[in-house]
Amino acid sequence: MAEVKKLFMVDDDEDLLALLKLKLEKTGKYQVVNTTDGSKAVHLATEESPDLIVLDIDMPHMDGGTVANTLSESEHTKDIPVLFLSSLVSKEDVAQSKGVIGGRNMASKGGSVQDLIDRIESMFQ
Amino acid sequence: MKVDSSNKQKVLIVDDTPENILILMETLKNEYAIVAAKNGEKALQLANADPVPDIILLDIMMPGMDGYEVCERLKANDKTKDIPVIFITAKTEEEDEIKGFNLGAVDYITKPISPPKVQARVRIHLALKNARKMLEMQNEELIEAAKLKEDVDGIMRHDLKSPLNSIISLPQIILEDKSLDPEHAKSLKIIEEAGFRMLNMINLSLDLFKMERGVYPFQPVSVDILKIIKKIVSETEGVARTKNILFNIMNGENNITDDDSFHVMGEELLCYSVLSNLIKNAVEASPEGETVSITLDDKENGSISVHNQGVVPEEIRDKFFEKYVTSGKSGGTGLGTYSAKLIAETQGGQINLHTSEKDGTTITICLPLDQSQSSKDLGFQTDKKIATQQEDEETQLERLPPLHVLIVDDDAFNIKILEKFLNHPNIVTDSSENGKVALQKLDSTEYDLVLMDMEMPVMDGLTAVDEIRKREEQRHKGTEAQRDKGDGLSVKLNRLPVIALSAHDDPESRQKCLEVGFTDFLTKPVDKMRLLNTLLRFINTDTDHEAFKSSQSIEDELETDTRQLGEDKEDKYFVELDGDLRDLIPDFLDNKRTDLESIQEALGSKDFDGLRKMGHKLKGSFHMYGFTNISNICHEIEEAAKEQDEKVIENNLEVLRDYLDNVVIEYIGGN
Repeated sequence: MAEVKKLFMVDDDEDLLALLKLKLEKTGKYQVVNTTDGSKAVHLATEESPDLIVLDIDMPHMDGGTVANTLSESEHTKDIPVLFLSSLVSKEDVAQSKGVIGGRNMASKGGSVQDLIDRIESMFQ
Repeated sequence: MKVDSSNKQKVLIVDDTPENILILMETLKNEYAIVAAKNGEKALQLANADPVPDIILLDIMMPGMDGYEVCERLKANDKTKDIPVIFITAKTEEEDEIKGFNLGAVDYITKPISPPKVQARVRIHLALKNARKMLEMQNEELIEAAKLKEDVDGIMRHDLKSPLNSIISLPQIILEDKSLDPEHAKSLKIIEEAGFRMLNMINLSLDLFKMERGVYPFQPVSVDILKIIKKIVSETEGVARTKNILFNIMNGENNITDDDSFHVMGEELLCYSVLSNLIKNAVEASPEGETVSITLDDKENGSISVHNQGVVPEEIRDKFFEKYVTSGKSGGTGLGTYSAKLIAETQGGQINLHTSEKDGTTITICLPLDQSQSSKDLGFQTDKKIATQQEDEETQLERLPPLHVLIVDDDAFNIKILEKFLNHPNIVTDSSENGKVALQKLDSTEYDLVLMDMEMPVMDGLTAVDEIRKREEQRHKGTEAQRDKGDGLSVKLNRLPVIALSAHDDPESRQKCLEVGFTDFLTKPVDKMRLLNTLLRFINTDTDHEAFKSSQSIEDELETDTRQLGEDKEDKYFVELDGDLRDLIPDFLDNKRTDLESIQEALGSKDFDGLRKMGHKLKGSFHMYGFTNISNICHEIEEAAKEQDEKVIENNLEVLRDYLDNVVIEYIGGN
């Protein structure tokens, strides 16, 4: 049995978090920690070193870009892979750029949940 | 440190010699707020402060970063590039000056510093800067004003048309009440006419603009000029009577009879507009007690001459048809004759002026005759033929086969009007409020024709017709495969007539509609005759359609069960969701209702940025949960928030609420 990966999901939309946690944990491959607060995510990441952080971009208080930058500045967290999840980019944008836009891993909220699960899967290969 | 810098203009002095800074400060401190830097780095930092300096005095010879480099960097930065830079230097060599000017400096001051000279130069360059800023602002205002004008034109064209819909349609409906008092009927006729006139004015104003640029999409049809002239004469008779002017309409050498008509190729509205203009002008220009003659002639082209005894003043004869030329008429715009010429030429015709003291004034318009109207190439024909045409139409209407028409429009009032227009014993109408509901109906019920609005929430006309065509193709493939097994004959693809109803009547919209699969295109507001004519065209000629119906009805029988199921569910929205989400959905829906309230609040306080963000968020949320249609509505809210379009947001919000209240969820799979 493969090792269960720990995922951090950061988004201010709690409904979306609930949905993604449910679907991702159902695969049996992931343990998902949700938070709606970017700065809290940074703290937690330092303590718990997740295997992947999925970040919304457009959030109040601390936006996803800032969260990612803060993570990359710290010795403890700089190697944690980050996947941005946003409806700012379309499914087509993501497909065309093979998921990397401006050097960042991107997934679109315009895709299906299964698309996202596949994408996360591919991040670990 | 901030010393009364609020209203004084700010000068940045850059010099590595403290004495120089001191002298310049003393020279300028009474008039300006001063900041100073002793090196290039500090200078750049101060130049980037808020507010940026209004002018910079810059020493060239400095250790480290020299003045040239500072200048170069200032010019490379958007924030500082427009600040005027004056170089201060001991150098007086021409070459250095040129280098400085090439870098974007506006002037030079040479050392030793002369205070009055410095004061004068700083003052001049600040004045220049202010003047330039003023010009830029004025320019922006002009651009804005021009845009506003265009917007207003657009608004006029679209927004005025909606209320006109009622003004034009309701009288037609009320007039069908035979018990109506004749006086009231007459008043209603007047309201209707006025509505049409206003509609025509709106259309014409933009059309003229297009004609000037040669982009008017001219679509000639056969037009009975005589009918139009009679209408104009009856409209103008009141004014004519006050001046004791009589009208005389002639068919070549002969007087006109009731049976005559005169057909040219053109557009009815354009012909009406140009002739109305000429006849009204003739009445105004004619001396009292004279006759205004209108003579029709069909020798080569169709020519229409309007004559009055007045004389066009000599000084404007040569430029009679030019823009803004007018004479003797207070309040005249000088656009009447200009637009007459424009319209005549757009229709492939000509316009000429003949004026003299002896003969008075004759303006002649030539338009191409309608060749098809008569075997002898004559524009004239007796009324007999027309009478048969009208009769044909009436008998056609009487013998109308039983029709089932589906009206798709989100405006209940529009549906009501169309239903009234289609009030005929053989026509049964049905209606849907958007494309999606229409598709459901088309799945379950057989229709002969669909009238479809373009702009609707949930699913618009273009998407709906595209879907209808796709389904037809699929069905066609199915039937063809079946037939091929039998006799090997191929079956023609049959298409349900779907007529677009649109407020836009530009050729692009029309083109787009036909491309995507609409059978025809009707511009709103629709009047009864136009609607029935279109209906007849597609019902009577479409024999293929009959074949389509019979092949379809076989399939329909097979689908009877599902059809009946569909009928009961009309007002509900159906969505299939992942069964895993079952437990999440109640909370999700509750939260979304709360979100809609927040949107409503934000709308109330006109917080468009907030609206945009909320629309954006909801879009992602709904989409991921599987409510893909609703996700589009949220996208529309997001976009409308950018445009600050409250109405669109309000409408879409209403759709969302209705959706959340009426959604029926079916879970697929899961536990």
